[in-house]
Amino acid sequence: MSTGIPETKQLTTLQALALILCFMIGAELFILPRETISKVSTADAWISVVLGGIFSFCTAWIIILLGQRYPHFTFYEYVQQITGKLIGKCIGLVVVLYYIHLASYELRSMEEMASFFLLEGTPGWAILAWFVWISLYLCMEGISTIGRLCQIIIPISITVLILIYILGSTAFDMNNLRPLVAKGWTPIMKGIPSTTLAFSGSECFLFILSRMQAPKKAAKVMSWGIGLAVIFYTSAVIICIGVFSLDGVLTRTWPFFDLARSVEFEDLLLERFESLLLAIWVLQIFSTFTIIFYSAALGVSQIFNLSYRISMFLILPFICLISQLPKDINEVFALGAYMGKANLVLFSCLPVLLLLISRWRVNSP
Amino acid sequence: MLACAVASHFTLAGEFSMKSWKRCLRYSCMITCYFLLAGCWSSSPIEERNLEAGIALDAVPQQTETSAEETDQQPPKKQIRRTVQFILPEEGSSSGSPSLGNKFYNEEELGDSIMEMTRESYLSNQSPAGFHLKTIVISSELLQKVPLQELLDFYLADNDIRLSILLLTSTGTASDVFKEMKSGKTPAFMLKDLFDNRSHTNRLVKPVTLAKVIGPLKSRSSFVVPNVIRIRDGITLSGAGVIRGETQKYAGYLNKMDVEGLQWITGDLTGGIVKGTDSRSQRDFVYEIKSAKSNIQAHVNKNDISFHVKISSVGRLSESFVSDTNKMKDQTLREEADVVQVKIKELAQQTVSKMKKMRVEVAHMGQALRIQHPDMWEQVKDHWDQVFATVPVTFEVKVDIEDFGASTMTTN
Repeated sequence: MSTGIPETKQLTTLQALALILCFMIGAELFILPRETISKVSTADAWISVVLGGIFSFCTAWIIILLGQRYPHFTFYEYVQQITGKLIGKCIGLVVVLYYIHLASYELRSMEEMASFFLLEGTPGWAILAWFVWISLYLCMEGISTIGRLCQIIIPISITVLILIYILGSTAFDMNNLRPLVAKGWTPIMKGIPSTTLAFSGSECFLFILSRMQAPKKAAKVMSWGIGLAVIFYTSAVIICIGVFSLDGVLTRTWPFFDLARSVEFEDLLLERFESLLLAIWVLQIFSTFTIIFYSAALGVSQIFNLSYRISMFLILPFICLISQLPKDINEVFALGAYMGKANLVLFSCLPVLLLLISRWRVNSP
Repeated sequence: MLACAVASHFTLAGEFSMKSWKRCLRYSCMITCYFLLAGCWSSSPIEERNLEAGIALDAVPQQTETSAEETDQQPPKKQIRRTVQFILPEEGSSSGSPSLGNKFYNEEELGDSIMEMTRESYLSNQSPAGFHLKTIVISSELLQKVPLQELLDFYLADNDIRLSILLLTSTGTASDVFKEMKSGKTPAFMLKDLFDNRSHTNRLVKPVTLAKVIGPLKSRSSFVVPNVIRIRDGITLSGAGVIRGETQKYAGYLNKMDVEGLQWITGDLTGGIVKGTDSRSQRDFVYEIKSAKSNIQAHVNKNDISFHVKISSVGRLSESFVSDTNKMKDQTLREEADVVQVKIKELAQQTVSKMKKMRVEVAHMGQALRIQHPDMWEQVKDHWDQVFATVPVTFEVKVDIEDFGASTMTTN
């Protein structure tokens, strides 16, 4: 394979964990509380998030089982072995298309929020250009460099997030979360699909498992990654409901960001804490975007036997173009909801199918 | 160091080879980047900005019929008067002792849309900035005409305005609140600090930030907002305004005593006093609240709702005019506590009857019903304010006087 990626550089276990967390905590964090509550419409929305996390844990488990059968190949390579070249390439292409759209979604979400809250007056292309070029530069070096970057970003993000949670809890009202499970479990179940996009990222084992120094530890890394993500997402939803009340969250476009804007601490170094949150959030999206970009470029290079660098330059224009397609912010959110559904099909149903076929093919001859 | 490197290239590499030309280009690119990156796309010096500190919204008295006819055209329905308090950062710091009045200035604007008025002020003001806004005061007169949702919609959607802004009502003229005070303080900022005093008084409701009104506005439930009025040389927080959930307009005013009762019911107390009268000597004494708790129990019997509120408090006998009493006797403390108990019960009952008269419920009783009997709540939540008027509320108050300070003596 002419992938052009230095194979000697590999991911340490810690880097893999950071990578997964970076991939998971992306654009969805800011809108997840609203998305879930609008589906659940009771204060139990946070239970949906926990259940959604457990669900994604199961799918990630299957992905790891699948990946460990082919420890030296990435998804795009072994899918061709499982289903045959033609079908395998088609499946690979669909995954690449998914990632191109997901990258566009992340890019556009970042642009929308950064231009509204942070860089009012800066044209959209200026925000995008820096973001995209730096990401391209980073991607050039392959997954181990991205992993190292994530390792730097994650501790900063976690610190700021925890600070936001602590600050938010000062305006927290427990009564907004009560009563627990008053309307039964049906609304809670309805909310689970809305969390799939938030937990998308666990599927990156499809690509990084073969690059890990210790592929056997993948399951451990995955448990930690999803566990931490569940904690962050669930507490975000709980605190948003506690501060704004159930009805209040529904009226906020970016509930989690508004959380940081609703508390004020004069004693603290930063009275307006949201600027810090926005800064790390851009970092977070940057890392998510970079991993998605890497996954898509890897796919193109392995499906069409192109050089990895060329495929990066090939798909970048598409990502930028698609990111500008949604006409307004409602279409951006609609794209997000659509991506969530696509994720459900691609990375929950497909791996099960592939695992079954690969087992059957091994046993049958 | 970088400049040296560039210079050395110009001197040493006399002949312009392709390689050194490339290097030169690279360095000059880097230097340009340094300058560009250190700059800011949309910078604006803070001295030139006018920072908004507070906003007061008032009603405009209706114009007479004649003036409307004179213009022949349909006059714009200018019904809101917006007063903005701007702070002057540079003068406050440059002059050693800031003299009265130059810390801020107020500006007025008429209109019917908040956003329109905000943009209107750009015509007379260099660059007003809203991101340091601290307080919004709305007059009760305006709130009787315009729903709160309409007045706040702009502030809830704007990107500069934080949701931590305090919301207050004023039974007087809201713009008067922002006028100069004898103490020389900036009213918009002072209002915020006044709420730190909640640990010393029970006549002040919890501060209401924009973040806290979003929920009630959406679910259309009634709530209270602290009330501020102008007194001779300053401002004072007095009572609370009630916003009716259904209409989102002003429902009425709770005076200081009502607020006390309300806080006893909700248990949102962190301090304050209760004045009682000794039953035997008819002399007054003051009970200081150390802690207070309340537990609202909702009971549903078939279709009948009733509430039982358990209030408990622990405190100190801080001031007593009762002569010849022995504070060191348990019996005495028990008797005084009983008096306080009755007093608190009276306060709470008075507030409940006031709420019923106003046809609102702002004491979190609907919340108690929602949590304890979710099915019943679903039935009544759309007209809860009306339903509440017929619901019986009973109280059970328990007060313990723990100590009496450093003096065992009473005035004699």
